[in-house]
Amino acid sequence: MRLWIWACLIFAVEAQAGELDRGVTRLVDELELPAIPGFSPAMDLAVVVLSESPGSPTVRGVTGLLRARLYALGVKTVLELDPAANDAETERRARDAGAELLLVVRAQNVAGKLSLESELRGIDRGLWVRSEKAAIYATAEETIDDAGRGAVAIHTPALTVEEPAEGLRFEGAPQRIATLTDRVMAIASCDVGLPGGETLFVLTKRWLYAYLYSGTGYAKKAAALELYNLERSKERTREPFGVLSCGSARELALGSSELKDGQLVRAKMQGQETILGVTRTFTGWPIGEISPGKWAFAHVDAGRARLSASIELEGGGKKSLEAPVLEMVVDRGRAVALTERYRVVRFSEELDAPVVIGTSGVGMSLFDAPAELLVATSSAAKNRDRLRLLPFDRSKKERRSVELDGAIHATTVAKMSAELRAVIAAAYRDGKTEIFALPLKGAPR
Amino acid sequence: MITLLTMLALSTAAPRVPYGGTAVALVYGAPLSLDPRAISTAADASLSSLVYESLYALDEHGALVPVLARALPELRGTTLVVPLRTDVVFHDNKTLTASLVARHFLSLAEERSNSSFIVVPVRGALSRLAGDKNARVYITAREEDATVSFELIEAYDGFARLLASPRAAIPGAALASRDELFGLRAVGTGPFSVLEPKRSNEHLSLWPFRGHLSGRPFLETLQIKAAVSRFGTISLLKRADAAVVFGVPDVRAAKHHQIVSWDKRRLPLELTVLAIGDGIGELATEDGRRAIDLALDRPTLAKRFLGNGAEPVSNLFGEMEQAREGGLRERPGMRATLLVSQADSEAKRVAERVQLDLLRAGITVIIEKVPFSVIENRRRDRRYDLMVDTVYADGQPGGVSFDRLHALLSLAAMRGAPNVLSEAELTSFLRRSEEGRRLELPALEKEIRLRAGIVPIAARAPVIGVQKTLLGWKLTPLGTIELADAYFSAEQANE
Repeated sequence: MRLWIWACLIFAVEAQAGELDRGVTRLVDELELPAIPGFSPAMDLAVVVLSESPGSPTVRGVTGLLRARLYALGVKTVLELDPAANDAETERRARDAGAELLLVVRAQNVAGKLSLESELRGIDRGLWVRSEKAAIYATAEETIDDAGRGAVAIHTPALTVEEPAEGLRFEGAPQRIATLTDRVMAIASCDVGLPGGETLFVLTKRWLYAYLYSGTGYAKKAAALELYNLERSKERTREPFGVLSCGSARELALGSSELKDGQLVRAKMQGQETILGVTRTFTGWPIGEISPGKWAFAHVDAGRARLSASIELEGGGKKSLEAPVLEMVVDRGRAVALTERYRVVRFSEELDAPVVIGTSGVGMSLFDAPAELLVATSSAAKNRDRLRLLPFDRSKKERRSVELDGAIHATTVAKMSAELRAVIAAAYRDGKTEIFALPLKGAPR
Repeated sequence: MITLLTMLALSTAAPRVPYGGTAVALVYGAPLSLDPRAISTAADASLSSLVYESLYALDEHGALVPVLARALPELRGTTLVVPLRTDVVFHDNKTLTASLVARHFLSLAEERSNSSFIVVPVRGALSRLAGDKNARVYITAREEDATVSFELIEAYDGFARLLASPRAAIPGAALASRDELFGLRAVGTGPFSVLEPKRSNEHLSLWPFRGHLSGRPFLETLQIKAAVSRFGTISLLKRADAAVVFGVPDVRAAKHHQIVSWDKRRLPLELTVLAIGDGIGELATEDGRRAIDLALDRPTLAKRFLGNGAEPVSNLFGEMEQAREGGLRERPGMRATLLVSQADSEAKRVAERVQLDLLRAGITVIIEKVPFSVIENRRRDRRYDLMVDTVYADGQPGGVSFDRLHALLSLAAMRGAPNVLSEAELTSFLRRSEEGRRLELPALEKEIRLRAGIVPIAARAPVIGVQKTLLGWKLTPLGTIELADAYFSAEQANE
């Protein structure tokens, strides 16, 4: 009975009690409880509604409506719980109360709409089955216009984003521009002052490679920097990972689970040769500039292949995320992170006010223009992954997606020439990494 | 409306391996010896490898791959040179050095242990093992280029394969408090740390070693439990409470587990044997040993008293030879004491049947149930009449001639006879061609079996059950299961 089901239906309704009722009804219907293998109305079900305003009229209203809907479906016992400090504690309380299932509903106001997100978790599968971590059987989302006005704390998006350019989308088939025998941990396309515009940087466990885009749409290896000459980390991660970030002063910053420090790299031409050199080290991983020249740093979470919840800002200051994240991208006023449950979370300029905007695998990247889009990844089918253009505002539709062979580990948005913008993706399959360029149509020049 | 499309939208590309979860490793059968010098069973070898590491390992094709070594070894004349990594630290944060590695291998020639066979081909080691305190053992360390050199009695690169054995793992400094129940005596370099282990009478919890050369393991805790009873083990299997179960007594109960299947060409073997010690007097003669050998009803012992895939065997390669000439020879009036570990319920049952078989041959046997520490000591000093025990062959009994030789030497070392062959015999064997060695092996096996006093009863491939939600583990050609990369599926992992 381990099943991941997710459904999303976005609609607009008036902010009235009746609409809230219909919204909650649809939310519960989305879960399709009777269709979940092993579900029985005789099972004890606990309900908790999470909100920034616990106990508010809206929360009470949503809780009451949920209870009514569940009883209508034949559920015999519905236990209402107050939110606890964290997920694990909520699950423990529900388990202690004798519940077998826990329905968690998150209510938040996104761009003036009440968003309800629900997740049904199996928390106690019997006396002899260990169940410290809940199995998630179903999730559903619902958005209701203005329903929570004044009642639910508003997560105002801190970023002012422009409307996306009309019709930005992938165009044509992916073109393989390079192949490596190593597994790629991160890629970035940055203007580091080399002739010909941007340079594609590729980070592997041992090397940082620089590729120059050719006029024929390929990438030619121009330089390599051996990273094993730098001080190695005493706590490597079993699954290596890393970050590459472009700096505003035509430089590249990198962090690797193989290395003790983050590195700032500059490129220069020496005759016909391209040379990469480390100009500065950081005590953390430079995940991006929060403002020009001011870096944000993350740290590896105690030897695990993820970043700890504490983010440091250059020149002082710290920000704490709710939990460690798999990856985080910061770029002058915009920041997104990927949670361990593969949710994409958008942050404000100050790295506060997290808002879930969608799902992705690892290898996200941000567009600089249009600034409200990011590249997300997901599995398409066996041995194929999908790249998606995900808007910051989740009420907007995702753009057309494109599929690639292999498992995508890293992406970047590149200006390959004056006319050509593309998403570059590194996909691993059959012991090698292929780097593809996916041209974009409708992107601003 | 839950559509396929929305399901696919959530499935993630290239997901990271989830961290967390407590993996319980349950061992049914012989007591545990995690110290690499005391490994006796496949379970010991698997669990010991999580704490201690060797210079090399064997990949799935049986080829040598460096672990604590930084490259493959180089044979210069009769000297094998092993370059070492310089970035390896032990659980106590002390660095692995060439001197420490050389000292460890020298100690294997100083004191007899299950690992002493590793150094048998090294010049001087056989003399030292035979008690010559002045014999020089030719193992040297060079800190300048971080290498350890082994001068061999004969040039043979197959020696390096011995260095891949779990019994050749390098322990570091002695632990402040030795854990006799689980045989933990020193720190290691492996993915799970023995520092500050959480210990109860029933289990031992080990924590991830953050300084491991490949990074901390994905599991948050490894809990090693010795099974209390056959029924308890089956109950735990049914409840899916154990991530890995060694010596599964009832495969049919393993609803939540999959039973690992071994490569038939390289089947690792755990042998149940009746060992003949040096204290047995008249029975120690070849005729006496033959009488014992012929008295045992191996099919009954294998099928009814061991089960679980055990097959009757009469030699150390796990084969059943044709019935020996002469049949049962009665030895009226003979008496012997049969030692068996009081904690090994399987061995105790076998001992009772062996007692009956020997009684029919006119040999009166008194069973003495003793603590495991006594068994360990007697294995080394050979001061016993008879003992029912489990031995685990190293070096692939079904492999090439060197591997088969190593397997025989490992079995002899486990019976306290690492110097079962003389230097001349060993050199003569090593000088032959592969074909010549292959033809020589059966005679060598018989000789080692007689000299070391081993009467094989039954053999089986290690029976290991792995919970279906545990992923990322793999089997090695030496019959062990590697758990360093193991992880629970996402919903099972917990912090």
